[in-house]
Amino acid sequence: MPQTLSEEELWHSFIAGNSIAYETLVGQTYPLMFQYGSKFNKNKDLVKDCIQDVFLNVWEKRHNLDSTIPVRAYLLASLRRRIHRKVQHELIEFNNIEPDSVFDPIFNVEQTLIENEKNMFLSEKIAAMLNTLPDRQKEVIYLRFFQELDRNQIAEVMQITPQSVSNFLQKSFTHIKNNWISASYHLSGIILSLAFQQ
Amino acid sequence: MKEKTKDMDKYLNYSLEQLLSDDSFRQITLNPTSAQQLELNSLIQSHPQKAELFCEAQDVIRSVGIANVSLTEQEFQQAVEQILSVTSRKTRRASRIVPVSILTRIAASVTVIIGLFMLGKMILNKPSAAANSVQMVRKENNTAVAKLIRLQDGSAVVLKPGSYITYPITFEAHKRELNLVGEAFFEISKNPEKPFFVHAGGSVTKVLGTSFNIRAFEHDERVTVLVKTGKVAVYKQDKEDRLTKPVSLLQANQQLQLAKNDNSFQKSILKQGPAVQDEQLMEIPVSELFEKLSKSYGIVIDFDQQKLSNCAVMANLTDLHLLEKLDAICLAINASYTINENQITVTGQGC
Repeated sequence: MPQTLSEEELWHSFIAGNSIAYETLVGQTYPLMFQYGSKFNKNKDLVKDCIQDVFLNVWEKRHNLDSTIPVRAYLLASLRRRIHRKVQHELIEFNNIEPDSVFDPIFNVEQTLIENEKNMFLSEKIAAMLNTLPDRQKEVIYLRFFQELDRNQIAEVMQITPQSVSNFLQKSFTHIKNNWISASYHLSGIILSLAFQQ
Repeated sequence: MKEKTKDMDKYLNYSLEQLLSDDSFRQITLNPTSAQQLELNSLIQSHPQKAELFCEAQDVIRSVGIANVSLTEQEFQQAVEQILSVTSRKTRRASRIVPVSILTRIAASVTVIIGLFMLGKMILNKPSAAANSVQMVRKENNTAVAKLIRLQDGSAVVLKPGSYITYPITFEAHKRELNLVGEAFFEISKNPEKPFFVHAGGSVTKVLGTSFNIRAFEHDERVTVLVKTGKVAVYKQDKEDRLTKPVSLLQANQQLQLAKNDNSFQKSILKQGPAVQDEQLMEIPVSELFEKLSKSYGIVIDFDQQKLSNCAVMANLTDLHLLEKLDAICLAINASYTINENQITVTGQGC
């Protein structure tokens, strides 16, 4: 296993005054911040500007920051706010930027990761179901499983209560389950009809 | 072997949906330790009726992802440099903060010039991975026997005679890249967030955790990729170093021969597993195990015949990589091993 420090360890040592820890943290979290940010706005440069603002702000405020906060949630929450603010601002100021700031990820299936061909269908189906979820539910699923945040951290990022996070998750699961059952009924229906034909 | 704790037993009662949303199951799927892998294997072995469900859940967890917006290595480096130059690396002269968007416009024209340089280099058939100022390690094998090299991420490379590999001292944040000239057998540790790319003779093989052999000596007309376990995607390296559509997806026991000069290729299926045979679940003397490993990987394993003569292990090592196998065996017989120039030395006090 590579000897990499966790985001929490890096954050702690950065607040304590270690600038190498800051540099490592920036390099280590940049790709995932970029991926999160670019789900809100297709303009790459706008997203990069916002990430830069977040890190500049963190650097300037380093003497007043809490060394024990969940780092990823904090960074993503800051980025989310900045993007919304910037998009609003540019809308008013220039009235020319694309106004998309809803969370819009596309769930897909990486074929190389499937060991069993049969499971391709299953994975495609789940990805398709995830894609039909409403934006907020998608964002909860994304933060929960692809950024590995817990309920409270997601609540902080999205500025909602932890209870709403649970509700969103529950709704998503129900949605998937319902679609699932109809899909498997369909399958078992075929099997049944085959059995009766014999 | 030691008696294992059975905290994975709870998965036996889980539905697919529960498995998919369980944190620990996701972790075991995406980033297992050797011990967890062993435990899950033995759980599946003792409950074969669950094998399909587990396999389904693992495939979904591994494969369902998010379409990422591309961020090239250059864009990434530039963006990070820009942040650091106005924060931690700020000089005494206060530097003005320039928005990225303006910088990229300037950078774009610079890129065109650099791009022309790079293109020239590429045509001269230089390995292009990690062409920036990253410090590279070069490992070569000028001996007559295969040489085992352990990478920082726990992956193993069995480098055949007359071959060499180069790779960065530390892998990048979101991918692992390596250049090969010659022939090598790879066992790549699983890490879906950090795919592994092997560049060899104009081909790029993308994997996430599997084992395979690549042969691409300079005098070879074709690059040959042979997969032992798992699945890999093979691409042709294009001029801009982009991976577009894979030439082919290969599964276990499939082989691809890719011509270096044109785009022709040939895919074939091998009748039998190319290397290691399945070990049955029965007590086997370690000397026998070491001999088997030594034969199938073509490396020398040195151990004290006398001291370890009473040691035997009962383990299913089928799906494990070489280093994981050695870890498991050594753990069981309370021994340790070191990787030297051309051999592996196992030392232990005996059983």
